[in-house]
This record gives sequence, C-alpha cells and structure tokens, in this order.
Amino acid sequence: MSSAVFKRSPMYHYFISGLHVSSELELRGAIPREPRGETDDVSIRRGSVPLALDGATATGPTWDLAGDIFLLRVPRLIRFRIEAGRDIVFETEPGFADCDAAGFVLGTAFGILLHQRGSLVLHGSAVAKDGRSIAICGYSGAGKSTLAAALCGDGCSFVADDICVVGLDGRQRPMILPDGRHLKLWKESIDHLGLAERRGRAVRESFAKYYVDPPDPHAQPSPLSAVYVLREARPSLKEGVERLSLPDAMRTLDHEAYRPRFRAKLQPRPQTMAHVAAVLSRAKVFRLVRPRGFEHLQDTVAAVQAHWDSLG
Amino acid sequence: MSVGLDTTLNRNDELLHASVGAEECVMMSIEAGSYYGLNAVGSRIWELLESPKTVGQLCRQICEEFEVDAQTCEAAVVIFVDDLIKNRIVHAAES
Repeated sequence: MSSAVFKRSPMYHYFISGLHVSSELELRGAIPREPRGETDDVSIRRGSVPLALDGATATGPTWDLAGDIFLLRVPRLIRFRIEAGRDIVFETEPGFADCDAAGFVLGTAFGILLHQRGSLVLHGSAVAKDGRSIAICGYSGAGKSTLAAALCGDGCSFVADDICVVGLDGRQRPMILPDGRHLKLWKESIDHLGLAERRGRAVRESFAKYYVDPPDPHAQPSPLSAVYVLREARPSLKEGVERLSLPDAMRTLDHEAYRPRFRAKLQPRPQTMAHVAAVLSRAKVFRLVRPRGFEHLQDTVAAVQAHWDSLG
Repeated sequence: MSVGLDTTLNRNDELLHASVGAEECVMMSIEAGSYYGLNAVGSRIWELLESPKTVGQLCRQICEEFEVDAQTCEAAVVIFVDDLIKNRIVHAAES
C-alpha cells in the first residue's frame, strides 16, 4: 500500500476576523499565519455537500437552514455546508477552480459563519490611526475599499475590507477585529493609488479586481470611534459630513450588515438590536457625501481625516 | 381619542427596544420596519411604562426626577405621549 494514498492534505492557517482558521483550501486573499498548535476556532475542508438539507426549517432559492446547519448553493460553481459557526465544508462543481473557490469561502461562506456566531458584521472597510478605528460602509461599488486604501496611503493602517466585524470588549466598547485579509481593489484604483507593486492575483479569473497586500495591516482589535456611510453627491444631496440621528444610525447599521438577508435568518432580531445599540453607545454614525471620481479622492481623504480628528 | 391625564398607557410589546448609552433608547417595529429614538426623558417614560400607567402618574414622576414645573411638564408629556400613540409605540385606554 503506497503511503501516498493516505497523504494528508496540506493545512493552511489564517487569523480571520478574530478567529483562528485552519483550511484544506489555500485561501488566496487571506494572510497566511503559522499554525498555533491548539484547536482552531474554524475548520474549512473539502467534503461531500448534499444538494439540499433534510428537515430544513427555512429555505430560499440558494439556501436551506436546519438547526445550526446552513447549506448554501452557488449554482454550477460550489456548495457549502456551514455548521455552528465552526465548520465549513465545501464541494466544488467539476471545472470550478480552487483559486476561485477561495473568494466564495472568504466572502459569503465566512460571512454566514460569522452570523452563526452572533457577530455583528458590517459590509464595509476599516482603517485605524492613533489607536482608534473608523469603518467605511456603503453600497457595493460605492468606493469603500478605494477610500480605505487611500487613507492607508495617508498615514492610517489597514484593519478590514469588505467584511468588517464589530466585537464588544469586556467593557462593552465596540472593537473592529482585523480581518486578516488582503485588500480587494479594481485595477484602476490600484493604478491611481500607485499600489501596482503590491498587487497580487486576480480575485477571480477574468475579473479586473485584484488582491492587494495591505501596506501596514493592523494586528490588534481597535476601538471603533465612528462609522462613515458613503453617498454620492447629487443636486439634492450636498457634499459634507452629517451625523445621523439615533434611529437613522440604527437603521443604517442594520442595513449595512454583510449579507443582511442571511443575517436575518441566523440571528434573533433582539440580539442584533442589542449589539447595534451597544455600538451606538460609543460610536457615532455619519453620512459622508462626496463627489465620485479619482480626481476628488484626495479631497475626500482630507475631509475624513479632518472630521475624524475633530471627534477627539 | 384625545390624550388626558386619566389616559392609561400600555407598551406595545411587539416593539424591540435597547438602551443606547446611559440615557437614550432606540426602538424598532418589525411590523412597520420603523426605527425610533428616545432622549433621556422619553427613555424614562418608556421605562416607567413597564407596567401600565396614566399620563398623570407619568407627569408626577417626571416632575420629581427632572427640573421642570408641573404645567410645562404636563403639556410636554401630553404632546409626547400623543406622538407615541400615533406611532403605535404605546396603546391608550381611557380609565
């Protein structure tokens, strides 16, 4: 019997959104770490994933939920079985490349796992300076990652991109947990910000979006002082920074959740609300209206920096 | 129905609520998809309504706890309570 038959899959180790992760799949997009020699918080492995869950209590076009097991189907590409905020098992469809699978694992699948753990997950980026952090939210394509990268070019350190977990420390202070991932930027952002030397592989083949090694990643949880929600200036919406009222801030943080439809299925509403209220006890939420376009980016960076400094 | 000092108020138990900091409070109606924020006095009124109370009882309590004369307090509380009823945050019943 050849020992090669029983060769163990290589294990990759990461520290993602505050969790120690071991993975059979190389997760391009996450920053590799040394194994830590004890049980990891999350295990990601290849295995058999059914097309549907038996005994599902809730179901949607691409998912089934049964107890603490969530089944996610990405038609023709990949399926996930995500259990108890701890295990992700995936099965790829024939012809779907592992390197492309990593994007789905790190994105939606990991987001679902974080929801299962009861985490507050914002769809946004975060940067830190002087021991404090800010989160930048906004709809897909609003320019969150580009603004975060530009702030990193102006003295801030990188904390999170896309999946931004807000934990509470022992004193109930909201803390952004470093996501342990690379930035994801479109080619034109990379070129404009002069980050070509840090550009890694494409997020997916045939995508002009690339992983970028963050220049100065922040390794520790960082107290959150403010959330900025990006909006584009238009005649009826003037440029500037405006603090949102309490109910508007609550609504906004609720809506800026990562994959909010899945969150709604996985977390009891009162729990989410209590978590958001705890965040709002310490952090302020602002609407940041600015013109789009790279020609305005440095002005926006200066406006955010000045406003952030004014918060004290 | 107009709100008077005899009007008894009950919380709408379907609302979710959570404290924000030491004084404020935020609420959500899942049914209406609406969010509400209450300041220090509003939060205190909501807290007092853990068991049903009349507007008069609320006014007396608020007058004791905050620096405000009875007349101003009554006028403000009646307007505020009217708003709570319109937004279905509390229900009113004539006692």
